[in-house]
Amino acid sequence: MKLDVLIVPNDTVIVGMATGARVVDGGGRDARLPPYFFLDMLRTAYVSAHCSEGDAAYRRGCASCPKNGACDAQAVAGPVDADPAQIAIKVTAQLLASGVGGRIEPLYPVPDDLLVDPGPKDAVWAQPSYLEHSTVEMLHDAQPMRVLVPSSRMAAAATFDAWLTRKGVRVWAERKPQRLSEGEHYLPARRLFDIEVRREGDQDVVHLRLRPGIGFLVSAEIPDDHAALPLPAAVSGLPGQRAVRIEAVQYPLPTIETKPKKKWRMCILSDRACDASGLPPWIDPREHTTVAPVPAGGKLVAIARRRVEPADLEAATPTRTPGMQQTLMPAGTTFFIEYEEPVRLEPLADILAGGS
Amino acid sequence: MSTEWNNKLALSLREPADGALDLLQVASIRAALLPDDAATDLADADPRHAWLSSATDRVPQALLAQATPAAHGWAATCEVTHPLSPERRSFGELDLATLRAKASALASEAAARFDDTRRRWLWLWRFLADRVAAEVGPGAPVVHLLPADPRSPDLSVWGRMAIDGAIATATPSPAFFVAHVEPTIFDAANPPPDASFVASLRLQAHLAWQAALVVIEALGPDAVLAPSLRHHPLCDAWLAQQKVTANKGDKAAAAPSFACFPSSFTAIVPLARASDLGQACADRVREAWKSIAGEAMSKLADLGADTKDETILSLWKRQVEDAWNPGWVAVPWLDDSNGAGSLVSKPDVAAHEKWVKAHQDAQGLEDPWVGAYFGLWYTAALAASDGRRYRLAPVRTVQAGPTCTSCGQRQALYTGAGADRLTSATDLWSRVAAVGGHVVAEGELLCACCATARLWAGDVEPPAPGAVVVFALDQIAAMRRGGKDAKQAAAMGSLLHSSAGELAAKARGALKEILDTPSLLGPSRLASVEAACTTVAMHTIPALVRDAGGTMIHATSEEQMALVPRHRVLGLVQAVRDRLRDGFVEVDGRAAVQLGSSTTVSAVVVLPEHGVPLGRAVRAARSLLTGLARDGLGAEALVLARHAVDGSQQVLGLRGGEPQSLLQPLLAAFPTTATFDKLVAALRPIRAALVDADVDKALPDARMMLVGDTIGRAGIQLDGAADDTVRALCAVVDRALAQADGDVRRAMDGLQVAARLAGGDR
Repeated sequence: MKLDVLIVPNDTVIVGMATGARVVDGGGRDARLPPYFFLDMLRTAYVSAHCSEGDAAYRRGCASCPKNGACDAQAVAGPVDADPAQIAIKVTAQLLASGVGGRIEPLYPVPDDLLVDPGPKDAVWAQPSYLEHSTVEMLHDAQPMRVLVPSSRMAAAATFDAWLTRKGVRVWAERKPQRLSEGEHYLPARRLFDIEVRREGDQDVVHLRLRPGIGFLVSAEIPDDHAALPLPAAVSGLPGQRAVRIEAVQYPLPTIETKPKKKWRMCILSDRACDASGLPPWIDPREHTTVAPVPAGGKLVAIARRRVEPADLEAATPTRTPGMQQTLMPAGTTFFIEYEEPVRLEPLADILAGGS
Repeated sequence: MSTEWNNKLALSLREPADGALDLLQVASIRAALLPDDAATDLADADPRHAWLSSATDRVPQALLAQATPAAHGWAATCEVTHPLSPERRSFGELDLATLRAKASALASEAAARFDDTRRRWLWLWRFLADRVAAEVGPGAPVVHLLPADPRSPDLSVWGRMAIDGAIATATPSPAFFVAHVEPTIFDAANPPPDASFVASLRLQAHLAWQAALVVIEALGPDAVLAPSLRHHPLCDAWLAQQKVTANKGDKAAAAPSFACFPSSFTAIVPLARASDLGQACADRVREAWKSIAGEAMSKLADLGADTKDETILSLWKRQVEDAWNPGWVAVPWLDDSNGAGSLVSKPDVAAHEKWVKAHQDAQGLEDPWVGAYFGLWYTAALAASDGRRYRLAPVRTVQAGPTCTSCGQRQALYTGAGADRLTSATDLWSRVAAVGGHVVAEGELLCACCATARLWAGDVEPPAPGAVVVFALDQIAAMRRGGKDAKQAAAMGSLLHSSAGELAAKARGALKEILDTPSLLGPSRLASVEAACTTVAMHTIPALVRDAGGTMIHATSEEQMALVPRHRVLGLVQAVRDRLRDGFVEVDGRAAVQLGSSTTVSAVVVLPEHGVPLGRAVRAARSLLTGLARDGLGAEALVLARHAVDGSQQVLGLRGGEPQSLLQPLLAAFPTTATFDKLVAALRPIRAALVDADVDKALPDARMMLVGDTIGRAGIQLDGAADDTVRALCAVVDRALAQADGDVRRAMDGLQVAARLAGGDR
């Protein structure tokens, strides 16, 4: 069953531990949130609603529980040490929302093929530049993928530390060179949340405080044959004894033109665990061609993926199996697909699609 | 291989069209080094021979043909024009006959010493100039700047030989090859900011050099265009390994102790070999890294770690395999601009085309030769490399478990699959720290990669002492990218010999587009920029840092970084600025070119509190360099910052001559940290008035009188120039306030930063 929820923390939420290295070294911080941050909140909510033994027992492990193997909490949220790739709850879109309490405006992660001119930092607009592949027949070590360069050849074009409104998404989808206006097309991270590092015991803990009127907006899927997540709900048990309020919500989607095209860009909206190929399940890793649910037969020609600011994940994801390593597609990763004939893309919950 | 090296020798020792312009008389050198029957496959009429002369950074032949002097005229004054700044210098007189005889005799000596063309070429490329200079007597300093064409004496004959040699090897289909070596999880510019910082920088430089060695071994060091390897200490050490030294039996100087090779390099290679070379570069990096990691594993075992444990072995293998991300691109050097617009901005391509047309007309050519497109495709290759490096980053991997306290990313090593992992990791590293405290400090938990870097480097780094200073040559990026941003650089008119001044003046009307407009970098100017950067980074700045009692950490053309005693850091910054404005300098007894009079240098000085890790101070410096220095202040910026353990900073940004006009009067009036602190305490009660701009506007002297009175009441004596001191003090307060966006709580930041320069640690 599909689930769209608005999550509003009562206080700060803990998004990670800062090592001495990264507390405050002037490097700035990516606007993205750590991997599995949203998944862990939903898992905690589900366990809180459906684990009869309580949070402490769940954290000790399901193996010692008398209901082991016959419990919705375990089946849907997975055991405490589950591999996120195997957890039945699937987060399909991890967004922010503004206008909480009134009309909801979803805010989307910036697709990785959208860069901005780093020039006027204090301006209330941003000049976009889109990654595109070069027509020069060059050789490189990442073939058969093509090398992407900014369309305006702005060598210094930088990643965009912001979240897009629906209007901003439409500008991206149509690759308009028009300026993006703050508020109308995007909201910078500083208007959405603050990051604060607090010394707690012998650790530096990274706290995120949402600005008033801002919430987390999550779309997810829960298997139909298991109990639903009762909503609204107040969920505690998050790292640092934090609590959040979760409620079902409906939100408007961006209006994106979907008429048939040969060239599409597809941006994933949530962090997704994947195999070593680094590709989503709708791309065949051997052939590099698309399969359902997107129209089959499209050729993957390039991937835009920003370098991710290192982030410590321990506090945000306490349930992952120690010692394991996962490969992750970060939200915003954008795949460039080419079809031989024009195809029409139907809107998908977990993908933003734009023309070439 | 033999034909390739024969080609190199033949092409680089080709005679100029007019023998009267041949200062060195290369024919006799070629005859000595290359037997008549040596096989070459260079076509006689190959237009490749004209690539350099058709390059857009060379004065058009049509103009040069009317110019004097020829060789003998030039030797009377030995005038050299600066390739990058509008300046020229005469080096006195040179006896050409002696020069030619010595060069020819030395070539014969080399032919007898080396029985293969490859080593003959290597010796010619690197050491012939040194040997001639040593033996020629009067006029020796100018030998290293001996012009390829005395009418336009900005490009040395040695530089011309290197370019021709590189082109000879890359024909018939040359490509610009850009390779990079970066850590997988970090931005290359920001290695772990703790005690592994310097080790990581050195390790990265070492691995990048290993990649470059693949190209050097296959094609020769001249194939590497950036950085310039001629007179580079790493290349000299490599040449010594090949038994190629100036004189038989010479020992190579030791390589520098600091990281001195950038994370990426550019070469000119045959397109057909680019894939093989790229793969070989990546393989060499991985092999070198695995070998280093293997040695580190053995050292770890010696320090008491159970390296046979399956858990540690599995972690080690995975982390070592994933550690580095070597990559490359190769963009062909085409003979037109078709397609370049997808890598270089279209206005830049259009401007270049216009420039090429003007150059072509001036040359009297029907078509622009391929040399005209060197700069365009070189720039395109850099853009493609940026795309490859930053837009196809590896998929992020997520790990869990006890985290490495150095990088904060990978899992710390531990033993025993079933044990509590944090306890196990703590036990393991406590044991190692107890035995080998010089590489691991108490309380640290390390991953395989950080452990390897530490064990390879040998010592744990102490917290940053003194001041961390990072220099950046402001115009380098602009000159590399060419175009209007490089306007301060020398225009073509100033490259001509002074005797051609009248000629140039007459031609200026007709050739204005060529003589006064900087173009994209051509082969000649690229060689000059890179050679100047090597001189600055390998010789000039390290020497000045040594004189200031400091220690170099990192030096490439991008940045030069050092640790310096606090009370000497301002002097060092000024000395670097002054020295770099000298277009021609003497290095190890030879004349060398630097960036020259039009250069500006930005610098950031971070003054860390006791306990701040060196790496964090450096990261703060780099951040201030790209932020306040470049975006806020522009060229010739000096940013001073006091950095606290909790990460807070007090910052003062100055421009141009402000260190002298503002800081020096303050430091002269308040010579110790204690007097500065006393001053700040005295001013605190009047802070509101001090930062109120209206006071200043209404009564220009009111604020100064207020400050002067306050200082007097605090019992601080100001000597003669009291007004200057108070004026400087007010300016520093205003500057700090402006840079803190008007936050009055930060008004004293500038004074507090200055206090830390006042010799408190002397």
